[in-house]
Amino acid sequence: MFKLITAAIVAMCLWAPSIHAAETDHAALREDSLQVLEAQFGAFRTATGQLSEASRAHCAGEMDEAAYEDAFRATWLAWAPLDAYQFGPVEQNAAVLTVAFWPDKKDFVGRGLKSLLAQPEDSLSMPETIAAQSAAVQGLPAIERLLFTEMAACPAIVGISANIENTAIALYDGWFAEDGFVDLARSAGPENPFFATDAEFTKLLYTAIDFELTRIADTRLGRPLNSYDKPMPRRAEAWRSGLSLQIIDAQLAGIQMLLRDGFGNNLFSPSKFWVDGAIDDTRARIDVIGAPLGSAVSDPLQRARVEALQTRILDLQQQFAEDVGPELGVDTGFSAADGD
Amino acid sequence: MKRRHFLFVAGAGIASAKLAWADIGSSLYLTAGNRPDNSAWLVGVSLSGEIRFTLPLPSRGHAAAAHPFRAEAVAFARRPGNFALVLDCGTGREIARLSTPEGSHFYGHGAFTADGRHLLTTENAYDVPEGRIGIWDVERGYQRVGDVPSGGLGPHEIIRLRDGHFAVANGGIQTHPDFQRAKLNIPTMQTNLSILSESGEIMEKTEFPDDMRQNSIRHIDTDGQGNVIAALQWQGAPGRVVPLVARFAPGGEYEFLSHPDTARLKQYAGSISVSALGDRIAVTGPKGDHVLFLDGDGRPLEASSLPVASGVAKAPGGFLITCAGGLVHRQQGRTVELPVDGGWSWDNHLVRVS
Repeated sequence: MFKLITAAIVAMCLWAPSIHAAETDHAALREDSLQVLEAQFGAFRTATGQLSEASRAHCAGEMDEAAYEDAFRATWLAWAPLDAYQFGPVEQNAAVLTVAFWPDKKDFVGRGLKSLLAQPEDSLSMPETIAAQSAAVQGLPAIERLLFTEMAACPAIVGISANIENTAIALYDGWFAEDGFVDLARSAGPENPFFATDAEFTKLLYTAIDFELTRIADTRLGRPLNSYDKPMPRRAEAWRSGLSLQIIDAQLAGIQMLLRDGFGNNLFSPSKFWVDGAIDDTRARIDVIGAPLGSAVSDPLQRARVEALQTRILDLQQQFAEDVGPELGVDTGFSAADGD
Repeated sequence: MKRRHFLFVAGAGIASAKLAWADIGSSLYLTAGNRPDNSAWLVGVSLSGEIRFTLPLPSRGHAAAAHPFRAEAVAFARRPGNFALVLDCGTGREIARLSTPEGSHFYGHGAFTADGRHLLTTENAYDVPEGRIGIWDVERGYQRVGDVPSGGLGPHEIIRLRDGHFAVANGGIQTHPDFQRAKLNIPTMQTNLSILSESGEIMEKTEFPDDMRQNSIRHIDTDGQGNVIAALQWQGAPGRVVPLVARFAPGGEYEFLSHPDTARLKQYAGSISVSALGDRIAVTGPKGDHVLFLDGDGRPLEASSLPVASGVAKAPGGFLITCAGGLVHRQQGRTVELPVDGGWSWDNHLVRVS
C-alpha cells in the first residue's frame, strides 16, 4: 500500500474531495458581485455623509428631531447589509465594532458616553476625539443612546457621525480604491498573497451569507427571545429606536441583492427563483410580527411569530446550502483551511 | 466508539493502574478530524497511517497534548469550544472531561508540566477580554485549580520548553462568541510570545515592532537549541507579502525567517514542527495547499505542493503531515504516501504522543 515517490507534488493528496463540477464562471460572478458590493458600500458612504450634514444642521437648530431621526435610521439600514462582509476592509478597520457595537452586555455604550461627555465640549464635534475613545461610542448605537435618552446629544453627534463617515470612506476605499481589496480579488494566483483562485472569492461571499444568517437567527433574534419564561427585550439590537426588525430586513434584502444580481448569472432556475422566493417569504414574516422586536418577544402571539421567523431564517440557510452552494461549487464545510 | 487497536493491561486486574507510554508500544499520533457527514472525531493514527482508534467529539476538535509519562492525552475543542477530553491512549477511551468556567472558552491547545502534575490550557476570558492560562490538577482527576494571565489577547498554542518553562503564543486577536469567529481588534492588535514559569508567572514577553504587530504568532515548536520557532498568520493589509516564520532565542532576541515561496501560504502558516534532529523545519499551509521547508539554521529549502497540508509532527527521518486523503511521511526529502480511508477532513494539528 505504500508507494515511494520523490516528486514534490504528491499525487495522493489530489484526492481532495472535489466539491463540484458545475461550470461556474467565478471571474464573472466576482464582477457581478462587486457591482452589488460597490452599490452597498457606496450607499453606506452616501448615508453617512448625509448623517454628518444632518448632525451639523440639527445641532445648529436647522433640522428638527424627526428629520434627524430619519437620517439616523437611513444610515443604520445602509450599514445593515455590510455586517455580512466581516473580512478584508471591514475586518481591517474593525468596522463591525466601531460602526454598530453590539451586543453590549455590559453597557459599554452608556459607560463610554459618560466618559466621552466629560471631555471639553468643543472637542466633541471632532471625529479625532471620537476615534480615540472606546469602540462603543464611535458608532450608531452611541448616537441612538444620545437621541433616545436624556443625554446631551449635541455636539457629540456631530463628532460621532463624522467619525462614522470617515469609517465609511475607509471601507469604500479599502475595497474599491487603487490597490484595494478588489484588485487583490481580481489577481488570484500563486503569487497573490491572499487569493489562490477565483473560486475563493465566491466562497468568501457565500460564507458571508451563511455567517449573516447564523448571526440573525442566533444572535439578533436568539438573544432577545432568550426563553419563553424569560424574554429579554433589551437584548434586541437597536431596541431604543425600534429598528431591530428593519435591520434584519435590510440584511435579508442585501443577501437577496447579492443572490439575484451577484450570483444570479451563475445560478439556474429553479434554484435561483426558489431561494429568491424563500427570501421574499422570510421578509414577509417580518412584516406580520406587528410590533418592534423588543416588545414582540414578550407577547405570546407576537413571540410565536418571531420564533417562526427564526426557524425560517435557519431554513433559508439550509436552502442556500442545498441549492446555491452546490450549484456554485462552494460550501462552508469543514476545512483545516478555515483558519485557527 | 471503534477500537481497532486494543492493548492488554485490563488483564492485570488493577483497574486503576496507569499505563505508561512505553506500554503503548509503537508511536501514536493524534489528530482531530471530520467525517463526510460532518461528525467530529478524535483519531489515533500510527506512523504507518493505520487508524488505532476513533472517538466521537461533541463538536469540532483542534489539537491535543500528551502527558509526559502516563499514556494519557487531552484533546481540545476548537475555539470557541468549551470542552476537552482526557483520553487513555491505550484503549482510546475517554477518562475525564474538562469544561471551561462561565465566560471562558478554550483556544484548542494545552501542555503538561514536566512533572506531569498539572495541565495548562489556553483560554479566552472573552468578556474582560483577556487571555488566560487555565491550570488543572492531573492527580485529582483533572480538577481545575485556577488560572493566570497569558500575557496577551488570544493565547493559542502553549508548549513546554526543555527547562520546564512554557512558551505561549499570544496571537493578539480579540474574539467573542457573540460574534462567532469574527476578529474584532485587527487595527490595534499586538501579538507577542510570552515565556511563563512553571507556576505561571510571566517571565518574558517579546513583541514585534509596529509594522509586524499584526503578524499573529499562533503555532510554535521548539528546537534542540532552546529556540522557539513560530508559524505566523498575517492579519494586516491583505496584499502585503510578509515572512510567516519567526525564531525566538532565549532572552527575547528574534528573527523573521523568509522563504521565496511564502506567498503560497496565503498569509496563513498553519502548523509548524522542527525535526527530531533539529535539522529541518516544516511549516504547513492548509489555505495555500503547500508545505515550506527550512533547514535547522532557518535558511529556506524546498516548497512542496500538498493539498490541505494541515498537521505536522516529528517522525523518524523527518515529518508526518496530514493532508487531503490521508497522511504523508516526509523523510530526507522523499515523501511516502499513507492513504487513510474514510473521507476524513483533518483539523489543523497532528500531535505525536508516543
